[in-house]
Amino acid sequence: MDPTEIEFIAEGEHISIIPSFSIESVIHLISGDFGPFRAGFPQIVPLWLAVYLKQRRSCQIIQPDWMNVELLEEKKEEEKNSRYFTKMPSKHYMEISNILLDVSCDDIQFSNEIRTIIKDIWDIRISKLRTSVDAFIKMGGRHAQLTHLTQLEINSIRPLLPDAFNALQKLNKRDVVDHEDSALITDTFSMSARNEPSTSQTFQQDSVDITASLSGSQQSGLG
Amino acid sequence: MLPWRNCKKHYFSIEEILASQEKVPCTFRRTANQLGILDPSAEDGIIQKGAVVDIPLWLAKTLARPNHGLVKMQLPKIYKDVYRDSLVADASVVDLYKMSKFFYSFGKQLSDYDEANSKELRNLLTETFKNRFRQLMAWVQNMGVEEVITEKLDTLERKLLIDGRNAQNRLNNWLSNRVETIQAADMVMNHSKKRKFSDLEV
Repeated sequence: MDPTEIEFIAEGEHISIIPSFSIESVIHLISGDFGPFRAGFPQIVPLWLAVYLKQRRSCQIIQPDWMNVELLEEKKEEEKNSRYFTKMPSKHYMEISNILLDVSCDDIQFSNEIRTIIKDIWDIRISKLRTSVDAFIKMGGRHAQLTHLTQLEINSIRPLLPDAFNALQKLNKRDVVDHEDSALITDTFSMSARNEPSTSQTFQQDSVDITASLSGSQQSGLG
Repeated sequence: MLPWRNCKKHYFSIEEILASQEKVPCTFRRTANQLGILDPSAEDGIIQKGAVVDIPLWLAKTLARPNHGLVKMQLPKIYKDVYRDSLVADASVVDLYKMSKFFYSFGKQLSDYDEANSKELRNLLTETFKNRFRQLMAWVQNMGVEEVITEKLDTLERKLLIDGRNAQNRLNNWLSNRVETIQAADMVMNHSKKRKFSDLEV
């Protein structure tokens, strides 16, 4: 998957804006209905719509609650001290902050600080991910828990991890290739084929019984 | 697409076909009269009993079948003794490409025919892969766009490296400037082209 595609998915997240225009009608979108818009009153819209309106200078984007310096500092410390991945305030934190800091820098307070902290958190998590992937392959684990990992982070180890894992599995498995072995398999097939008539007979008998009882019940029902 | 993405053996996988070209040392159990082409040093086209000749795996596995019993396959030296020791000691510095271009694929195929050593051989392959993976991952994530060191890697690792590099480059581009636009899938593009063409005809 391409990072741009994940960004596209992230653009479906909702965000509050303060429009500077008024429309009485409701906008019908696939993801739901939004509006009516009244100038000065906050309204929730998908991120892509907010970006579009912002670029036409007809709205002000309200900074998401989680996008403040103290909370992110806290998250960063928590992430640093934990062995596991911690829950992020948004499942698309990287993409959303990237878009918002790009498009509406003027609406966001302490945008530079936030940019740095988000990047720090990303770096910590990616290096953690890298060490755990290495440990996972080395230990020969069969499954991994991906709790609290965001989509973009999971995507950052594709296609390397799945491919390496497939290769390992293939190396581990013994394929049956010998002609003698394949001959053995056909033998067992023919044996089961010889057994088949008796089973099909019993099956037929069963089905006859069932239809008989069915027709009987139908008759009784009709009667 | 990597044939390795499928866990199943791939009949038309070009990698596996090429890997089966790798040579296996074989001991002749009988004197073979017409098979001199296999061994350039054979006199009068006759290979003597007990001679050791390197034969491609695809041929060797047929000749070694019990009903012929013409040759006896041996494990190639890259999976034995000194080479094995060096792999066990520190796999990440070994030049796999020099040992065999298809180290993993060839070894895997051999392990399918070698009943006695099958498990050991597969263990050697997986341990080697695991020990080299850290280095491979570091290269995938940190190598510059220009320099791509693939010299010491075998074909499987090269593929993983190149695919991983491409994905990492896309991520880096997105993180740094975000100028890319989403491309329509090839199928959609072809479909719309076809439709336009048929529209013109009508």
